[in-house]
Amino acid sequence: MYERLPGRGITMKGKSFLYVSDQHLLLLQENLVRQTYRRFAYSDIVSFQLHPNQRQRVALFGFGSVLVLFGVLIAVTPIEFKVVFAVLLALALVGFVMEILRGPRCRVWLSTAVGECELPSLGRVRLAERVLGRLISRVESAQGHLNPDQLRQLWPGRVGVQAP
Amino acid sequence: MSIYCARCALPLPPKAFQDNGFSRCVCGDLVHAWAFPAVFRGVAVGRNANARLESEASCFYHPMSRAEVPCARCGRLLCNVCDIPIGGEHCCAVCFETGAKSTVAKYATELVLQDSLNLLLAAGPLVLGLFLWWMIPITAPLALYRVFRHFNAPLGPVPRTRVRHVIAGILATLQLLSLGLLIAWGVTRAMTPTSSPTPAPGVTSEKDLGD
Repeated sequence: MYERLPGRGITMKGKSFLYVSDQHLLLLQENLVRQTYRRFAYSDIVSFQLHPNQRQRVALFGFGSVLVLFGVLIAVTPIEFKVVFAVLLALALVGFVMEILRGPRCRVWLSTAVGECELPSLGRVRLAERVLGRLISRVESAQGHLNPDQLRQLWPGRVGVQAP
Repeated sequence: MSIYCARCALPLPPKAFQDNGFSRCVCGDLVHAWAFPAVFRGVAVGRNANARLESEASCFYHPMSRAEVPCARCGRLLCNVCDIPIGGEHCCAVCFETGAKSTVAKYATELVLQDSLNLLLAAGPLVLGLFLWWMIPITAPLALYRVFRHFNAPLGPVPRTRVRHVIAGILATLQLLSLGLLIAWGVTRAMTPTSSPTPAPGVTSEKDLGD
């Protein structure tokens, strides 16, 4: 039985969700009439990577521009149009505030021995760290923990590498 | 053996694996990574098929290979290459592929959502009524038929209810009822004899004209 993890990603292929079961992680992609599933056994997961990015700033800039535009339009248009622009301004303001509240954006990748896969539903750093915390505990219960000596072997050519 | 950045495909810096935060990759991207012991395991190597001796049974798909197990679904003999072990069973590729409707549904990689399709058929002409209302006589019976046809179809491995089927069925029934009422009203109206119009005040009747 699957349990859904928080987060929802929207990609060109449709919506994306993550589910966990006892043995594997399920990446579900859904468009209007079709679901596609990818399963990753906890014992096969090699790594997770979290890359924060600047998309939140871009989104805030977009919302800010819209707010300014509607503010100007409210100031210069006749009274009958002011109500329409005020509603649009309120919507943009809600988007602006929500964007700030949800925190910085990121992209998360999962890798196995045969390839990498992006997890689009983990699009915010705070959410991703929370969900990855759950996933890491499941992966480590299936594989065990990577000790510092093993981790050092990942950089054999680099002298003096300090394992975390 | 290393773990590579998903953006630039260069090895990640060791600091990226520290618990306390992010590190900058060679490509300039901030990254935080977690590695697991599977990194040392590598890719599992598949089994080879054994050559068949003259007295031995052959694989259904590879006549030169020795049969190792029968498929639990179709009974075809399979060699090591064709055998797909699933949850203690052995299955051939064909049964694995077509098994989405049976017990191997939990291993399906793709599923057409019949309930969403039905809902789309039933609600689409209503939502886009201005352009697609003329399709209702086609889509409503089709949606209703599909609701009955696919009501018990698998909903996929993740939790999902049949509420879309129910909504689609209700919408299609209402559309058909409305359509029936519209047709009945039209027929009744067509069959009702039209009464002769009363002459407007000031207009003289034919009788008066004759006199």
